[in-house]
Amino acid sequence: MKLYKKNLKKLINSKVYHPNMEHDACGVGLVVSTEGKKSRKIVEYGIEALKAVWHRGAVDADGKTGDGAGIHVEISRDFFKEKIENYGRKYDGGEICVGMIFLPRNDYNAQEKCKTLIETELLNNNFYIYRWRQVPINTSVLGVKAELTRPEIVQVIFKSNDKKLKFKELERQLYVIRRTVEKKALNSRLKDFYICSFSSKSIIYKGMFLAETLSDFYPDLHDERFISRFAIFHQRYSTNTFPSWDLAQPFRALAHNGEINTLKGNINWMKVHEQEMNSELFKEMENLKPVINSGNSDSAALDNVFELLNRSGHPAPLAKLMLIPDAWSKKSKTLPKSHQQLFNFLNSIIEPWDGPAAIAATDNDWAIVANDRNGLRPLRYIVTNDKLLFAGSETGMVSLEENKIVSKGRLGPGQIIGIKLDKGKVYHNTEIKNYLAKEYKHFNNQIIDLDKKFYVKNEKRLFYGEELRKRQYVFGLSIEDLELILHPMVEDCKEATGSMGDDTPVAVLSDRYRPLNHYFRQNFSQVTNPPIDSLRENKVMSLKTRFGDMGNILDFNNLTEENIYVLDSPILSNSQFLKFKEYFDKSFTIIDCTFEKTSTLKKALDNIINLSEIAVREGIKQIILTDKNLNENKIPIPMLLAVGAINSYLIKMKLRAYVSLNIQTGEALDTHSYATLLGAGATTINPYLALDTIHQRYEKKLFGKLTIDECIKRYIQSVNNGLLKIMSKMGISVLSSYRGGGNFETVGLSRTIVSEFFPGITSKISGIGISGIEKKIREIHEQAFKENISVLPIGGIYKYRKNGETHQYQGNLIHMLQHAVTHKSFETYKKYAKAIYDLPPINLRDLIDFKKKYKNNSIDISQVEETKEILKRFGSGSMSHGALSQEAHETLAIGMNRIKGASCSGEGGEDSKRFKVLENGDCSNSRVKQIASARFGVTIDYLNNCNEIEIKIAQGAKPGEGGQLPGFKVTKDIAKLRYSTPGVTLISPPPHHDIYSIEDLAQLIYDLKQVNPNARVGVKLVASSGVGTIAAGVAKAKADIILISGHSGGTGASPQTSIKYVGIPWEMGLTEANQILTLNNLRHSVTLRTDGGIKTGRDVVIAAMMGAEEFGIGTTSLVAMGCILVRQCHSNTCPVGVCTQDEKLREKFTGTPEKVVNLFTFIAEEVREILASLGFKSLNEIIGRTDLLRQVSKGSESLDDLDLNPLFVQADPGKNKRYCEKKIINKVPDTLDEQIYKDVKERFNNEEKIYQSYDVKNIHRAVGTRLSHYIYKEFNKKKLPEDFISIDLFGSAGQSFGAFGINGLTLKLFGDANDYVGKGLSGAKLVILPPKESNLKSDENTIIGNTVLYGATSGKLFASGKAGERFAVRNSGALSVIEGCDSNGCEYMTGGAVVILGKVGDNFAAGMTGGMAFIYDPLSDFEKYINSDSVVWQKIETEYWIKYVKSLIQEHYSETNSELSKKIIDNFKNEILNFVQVCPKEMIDKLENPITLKPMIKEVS
Amino acid sequence: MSDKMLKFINVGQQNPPKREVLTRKDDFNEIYSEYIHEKAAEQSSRCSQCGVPFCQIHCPLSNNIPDWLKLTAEGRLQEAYELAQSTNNMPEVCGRICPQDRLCEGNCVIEQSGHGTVTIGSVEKYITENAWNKGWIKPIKVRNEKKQSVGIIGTGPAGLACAEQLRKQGYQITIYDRYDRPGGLLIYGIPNFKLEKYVVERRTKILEESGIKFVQNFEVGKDSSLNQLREKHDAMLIATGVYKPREIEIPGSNLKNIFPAMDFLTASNRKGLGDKVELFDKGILNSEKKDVVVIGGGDTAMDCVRTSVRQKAKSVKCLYRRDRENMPGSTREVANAEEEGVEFIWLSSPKEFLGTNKIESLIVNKIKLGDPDESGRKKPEIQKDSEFNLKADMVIKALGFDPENLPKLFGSEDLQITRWGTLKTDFDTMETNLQGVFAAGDIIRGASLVVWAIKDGRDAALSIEKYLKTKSLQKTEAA
Repeated sequence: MKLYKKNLKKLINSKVYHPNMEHDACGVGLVVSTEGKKSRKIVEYGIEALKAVWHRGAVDADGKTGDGAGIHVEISRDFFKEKIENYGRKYDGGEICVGMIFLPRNDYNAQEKCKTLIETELLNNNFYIYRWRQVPINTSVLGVKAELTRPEIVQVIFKSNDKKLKFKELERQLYVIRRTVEKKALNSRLKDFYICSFSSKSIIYKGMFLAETLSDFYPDLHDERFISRFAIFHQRYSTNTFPSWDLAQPFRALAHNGEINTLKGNINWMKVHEQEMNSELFKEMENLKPVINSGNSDSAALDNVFELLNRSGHPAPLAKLMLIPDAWSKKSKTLPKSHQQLFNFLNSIIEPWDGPAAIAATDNDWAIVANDRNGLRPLRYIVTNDKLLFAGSETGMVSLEENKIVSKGRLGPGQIIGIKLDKGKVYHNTEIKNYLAKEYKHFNNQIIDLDKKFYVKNEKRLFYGEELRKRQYVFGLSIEDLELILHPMVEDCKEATGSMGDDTPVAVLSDRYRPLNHYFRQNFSQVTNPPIDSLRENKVMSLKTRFGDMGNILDFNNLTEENIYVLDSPILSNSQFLKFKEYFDKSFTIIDCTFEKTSTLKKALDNIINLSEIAVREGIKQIILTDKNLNENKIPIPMLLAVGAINSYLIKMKLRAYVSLNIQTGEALDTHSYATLLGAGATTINPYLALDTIHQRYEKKLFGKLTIDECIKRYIQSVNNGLLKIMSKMGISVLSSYRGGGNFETVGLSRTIVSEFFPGITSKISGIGISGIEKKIREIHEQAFKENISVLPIGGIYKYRKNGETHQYQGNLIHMLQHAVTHKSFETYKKYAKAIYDLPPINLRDLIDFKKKYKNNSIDISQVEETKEILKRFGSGSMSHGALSQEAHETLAIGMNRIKGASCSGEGGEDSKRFKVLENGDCSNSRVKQIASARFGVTIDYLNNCNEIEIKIAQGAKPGEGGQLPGFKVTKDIAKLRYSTPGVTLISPPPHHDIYSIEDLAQLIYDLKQVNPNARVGVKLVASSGVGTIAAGVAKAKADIILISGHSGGTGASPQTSIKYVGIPWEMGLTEANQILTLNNLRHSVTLRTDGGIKTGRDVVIAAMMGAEEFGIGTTSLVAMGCILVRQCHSNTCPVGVCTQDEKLREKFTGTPEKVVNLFTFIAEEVREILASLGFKSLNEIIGRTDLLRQVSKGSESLDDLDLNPLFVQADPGKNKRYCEKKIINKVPDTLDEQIYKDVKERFNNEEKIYQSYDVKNIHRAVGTRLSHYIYKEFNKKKLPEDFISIDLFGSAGQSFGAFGINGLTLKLFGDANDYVGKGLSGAKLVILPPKESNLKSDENTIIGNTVLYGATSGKLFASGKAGERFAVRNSGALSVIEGCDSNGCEYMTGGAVVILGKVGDNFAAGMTGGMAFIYDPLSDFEKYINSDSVVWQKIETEYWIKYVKSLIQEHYSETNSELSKKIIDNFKNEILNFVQVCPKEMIDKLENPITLKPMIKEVS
Repeated sequence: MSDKMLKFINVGQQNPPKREVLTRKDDFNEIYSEYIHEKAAEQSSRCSQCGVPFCQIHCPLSNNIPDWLKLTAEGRLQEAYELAQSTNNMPEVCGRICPQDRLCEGNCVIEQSGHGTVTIGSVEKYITENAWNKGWIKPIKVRNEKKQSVGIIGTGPAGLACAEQLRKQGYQITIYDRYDRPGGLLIYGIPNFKLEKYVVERRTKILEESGIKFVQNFEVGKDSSLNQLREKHDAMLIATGVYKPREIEIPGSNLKNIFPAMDFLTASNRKGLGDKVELFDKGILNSEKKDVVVIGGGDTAMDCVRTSVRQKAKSVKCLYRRDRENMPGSTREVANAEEEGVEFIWLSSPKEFLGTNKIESLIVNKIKLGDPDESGRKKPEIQKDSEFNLKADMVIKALGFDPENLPKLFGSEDLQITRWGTLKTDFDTMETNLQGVFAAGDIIRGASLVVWAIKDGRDAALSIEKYLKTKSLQKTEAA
């Protein structure tokens, strides 16, 4: 513990770590009476439910310290009455108020101070204190850490002297008192003081114990008098291991499962809203500010705002709709107009808190549960006939008798259920929204949609000819920018694609002019929250931009005086900008963002800040910042700097709320530049220079027949799409919450600049400051106005050019390396390595060297561990067959197997032929099998032929993004491996649809350890600030290997700006991961691996010293096989046959396993030489030894302080090793399968079919998976007859029911199941049906959860009930019949077939490129729900398919006895007319059995 | 990526049509015709748009080849030209005479992987010819005339490139040249069938129109000393080239009808320009109906043999002491020569010229290649008893060139030279030991390619500009 605190302090002081990097996720739920009656049962159910979601939390190594759990129930009057009277006080029969309080445990003095604070406030506000009560606790259930950090837990029991003060007023006053106390405590620096609840209505018991021990820890809860109308419960899973009692949930208003992706923006905007915040209900607003306490977790921050809204008169359902609204702007078909208007209004009041969120909340008037706009967290509910409603993360949390159940359901995207507590009336989603829509209808006409006024028309240019060229020059534009980046944005209407990694210097190390935005790296989500697919799930995304005065979020009434302006996109063309100015006529101020050569940048910044303040104080609502006035004597201020400076200053001065910042700049060209400007706080952007450049190209007739207006529209469209993509990487779907959020981190930008102008953005490595920036812009300005510049610089950022930016892969180096590996010349390799070391600095490690004193320690190289030992630590990156040609992929695998290194299948399956050893003893089987978001070819066979499984969460070249393998690359072979159709496009989704949160990752790891208990499971992450805490969470999820990829990693295809501006160097990510893992006592239990641009032995040694024990070398191993960095991998035209599927080009492949072996041997040899020179005998001795490194260069003279010290900070590992000593497999608990296996294994050899039956609970996860593994091993791929092993199960099955189930296995479940049923199904048959005693209607009954049949390759699923979100996502072979599903059904499906005998949710068949779906649509409203971008739909027309559907329904009936299916079959002739058939467009001409005999297919527009 | 590129997969390589041997042998016109527009676009579209463009890396001028190939493929010819000229002062010349097979094309990635190179040189020629035809190439318009002046000695590619670059910045330029026409080797050294003279003339004309003063028939050291010129100009550039032919010291070398290559080529070029050349007209420097032997294996030797063919020599033989793989000349030129009927006698070296008054025959030794010498090339060794006799009416010595003795020639004995006779310059600034006197081209690097001369000229211009700026700054400060 001491060590932990010491390490923590060290890491925080050296800016390596900040507690706000921590993430959490959880299980959450609510039990509530539907008749408004308090009961003991409700409290007990709450406690019981917590015991059934323990697996959603994490446990410390001590086995007892949990990440937090708690329950929120009503105050029991009888109970507390006794406590008052016991104390000798008289109870007067009024409302009893109770504060549940954590005090600093061992500091009595501080305890007294805290108590005094509370007492003073209470007494001053006319309250009477009955007593302080020491809350009885049972510390024996606590783990060591939890006990050591345990606060003193007390209750203050009191009442109001003012009898008239009732309920809402009373609660409001208690809120004000609590906030005042909190503020005063903060001011007097009282630490470890926390008020869990402070209310006359309810009370929260929470702490750092395991969920199941809640009531043991707090014996109060055992008291029969503890009755309530509701119980909100919560189990937390946190990425950190340091127990923080106050972060346990529920909070005062809500309990939250998920993660708020927009947190930074929300916090910033709350500061802005505070400026205008006002309410008659509160006397003194200032006591409530800041609304969000600094250092709060995302959930706590959300709770702060939610509670404030409640207390200021917005009931819980409204607060939910304000903060976690539906996606509405693109849902005109499925959302009623009144709802759309309601959301339009609410969204112009406040920015959404966006991200995965299942919440259970109460304002003591309402109890609600609700889901986020995307439905990213599971929420199931049950209503019983004994007047209870259960809702929570899983079904089966409490055991209920089946015949008591009235209905079962789940909450889809944006949905809410509310219970008015006093009446006990249940209000369903639509009812609540209808009501509120009516309530706020009168605001609708105030919203002025400017899109109707500012359309793109008659585009005019501002500059042309030489004037234009000089401006292009000044802003650093190159020919490459125009040809490679700008042009495709108009011509193809999308961002340019590139391939391979970034091998240019990080901006701060470059000696050229690099625009300021190059120093900014986009944030992205990994593990703790999912990125979104901005293309396929576009409907949830929005760029709606509102401007002008922000208004008062607490009181809508003053809004009636003002109009609210909205635009669909923040990007304004020249003509729109003109209209914008005309529209706002005189109510704007233009601030010139250029400065005289004779002045300085600092003065210029001071000046514009000043001008902006004056403008706002004069009542101006629109500020325009422009840099177009530049000329020979006037230099533009970098606009990003200007925006950051003004935005942060106005926030500081509490003025930002009153004004919009409209930008007219030459700086914006690629999507990244827009994202940075908006992230810094810009409201709108007019990119005049990019538009004029388009004009110039238009005049050259480079855009074919497009008119100039069309060209401009297309450009803006691609910027918009790019922005959506950048936001979606972070999991953010609405621009208003992204704006000003600073969702970036900087590398090499001075910390002073960041903290002053971009507060909230992480900056670990400082660097260029104002004077450095000024120097660069002066240089380029002077160049631009030099005589006779007729041509722009050529560029060289994306592709190497001799006079352009430095690249690490240079022509001569490539040839040298290829010569070395071909001729097995270590000497040539050394020349190559030396040439790399002689390059100008490109990577951070190029500024680092080994400490001198160790250089004199050299030992003889014979003493160093053998080459073959070092070789085992190498991997060749994770590249798929699909990215690589078959020849390249197999050659690489054989080479790696020869050295016992790790080759990885990549995301693309692998031919099972390769699993066997070849005759010559070689083997092309990849030791590591990857499981990525598309799950291509992930079968039980695949997963059992490896000793390592790598979960690719993100990829260095494009973290947070998915991918697409265009049809022309999907050859017959590729299609076979990926279970798809040749020639048909394959999509990899941005997120793993079974990982939206850390506990989901733990679940996948659990599943994989079930399917192959002998493989180590690795998780691939991309370096970013905060990756350390994520790594800690991953380690807690029982991963065995963590891979930290640097930003420079390669790719077969990726948007150019993603290659360039996302992720950070591995040096930063690796050291952070190593530090935080060590801090959390986890480092020795997990292998740490790194990759991303590693090229030499020196790189390997540095990586080892920074904490890695294994090393991936991808691109360089391709170079060894003949790659010459043509960077056309995405074009399928690799001239050397490495990265192409074209047969003719593949013939050009010249790689051999020997070359691969030579490369790695050389690198290992160099490692040995370095070890010897430093006096070390093995790599293990130097792992994590950053003390052997020192910074030898501080970069260019003009930098402020490029200090790499944060990379060198070491956490003390105590007695543990700094590395993972053995290749351990971290154990996960067994599931029901071990029992089943025990019962059936004896009978494996008999010819007879096997039958067993069991009871099952939701804590039994991945049922059938381990059994499938045993069957696989036993029968060695033999095809088993259907139903060879049949298991009947009764109850609610846990997550991943039947995952990776093998053929021959049948699981029949009487009850229901949670998420991920049939994940990766590999041939098994799954049947799920309601128990016989159930009274539910199957097509209204949710029987299986979200993300069912994800990546299934074969097998069958029959479910007599509805499925949740993303049914059959990425299904590539399974057949299924179900009776309804929620949104995003059949997303990304590439094979198999599904029949849905009920309603489907929105966005059906998005990105579906294969397989077939049939939907029973008697109401004929299917059209509303389909996303027809990639599919067509029609009535079933051909005999073949009619028979096909019939046989599947018949099978469904015979398996499930479903009444609905019987009804359909009985009347099949007529019912078949009620079906629609959905077929992917790309499949139509490839079907063996056509879907129509007509020549034309009806297409939905 | 524009779908116009990366067509090498299905579009084959195609050079512009080469004229038939029988017809091209009859005149001195260039042997390659130009691409028609569609062909140029199509061939450009074969470019792979590499991430690491080896063509550019191996181009002395670092021409942005993939970029102007893309522009050409897209039909954006004016931009293509502008981009090409931004790194090269005479792309039409390089397009014609660069040994592309050893530079850009030889390193083209798709060539390396067996798809046949993109025909870079021909496209370069096409782009520039098109620009000339369209009138896009115009004299420099100087907006800010500067007072400082620069004197340049030599109107070869180095001198011209430097002149143009400095003129663009507004400096006053005078070029001094000892010949009657500007262009140096481009005019008198390279035969028409590789580089027709109008190509050079229109370049120099446009430079003249740009305000560059050409002073022809001016011999430094005779008409004015170097120091006098230095006083007249703020900076000087020496770009004389190397003209002293290397001799062959064997018996009989004083016989008549044994000529240095440059005499032979100059005579031929002057004839082509319409000059009266007495020695040619008398039949002395004319190889018509003669058995010609050219000694040497470089590009100059190739020029000599092919000129001889066109002069209707009876036979043309080329003696070279190494083999085909080890010859310095462009393999493309060898192939052209062979097509035109030249006989190469590899691995052979003259031992003695025989004849009474004029050359009648040579005694030749056969050579074998030994171990590599310090330059890395295999050392030729004479094979014992391998002599044979070769009939010859005319022998042309194309053994390379050495620098003249410039300090002496220029009357500037303090000008430092290297042990090879080239001028000694600072590696970075290209300044000689005399302040403000710079040097570029063959005179500093020894006989080399035109493209290197242009590169030197451009680098020298940058350096001179820097020098002049400092100088003018000092002046203002002093004033």
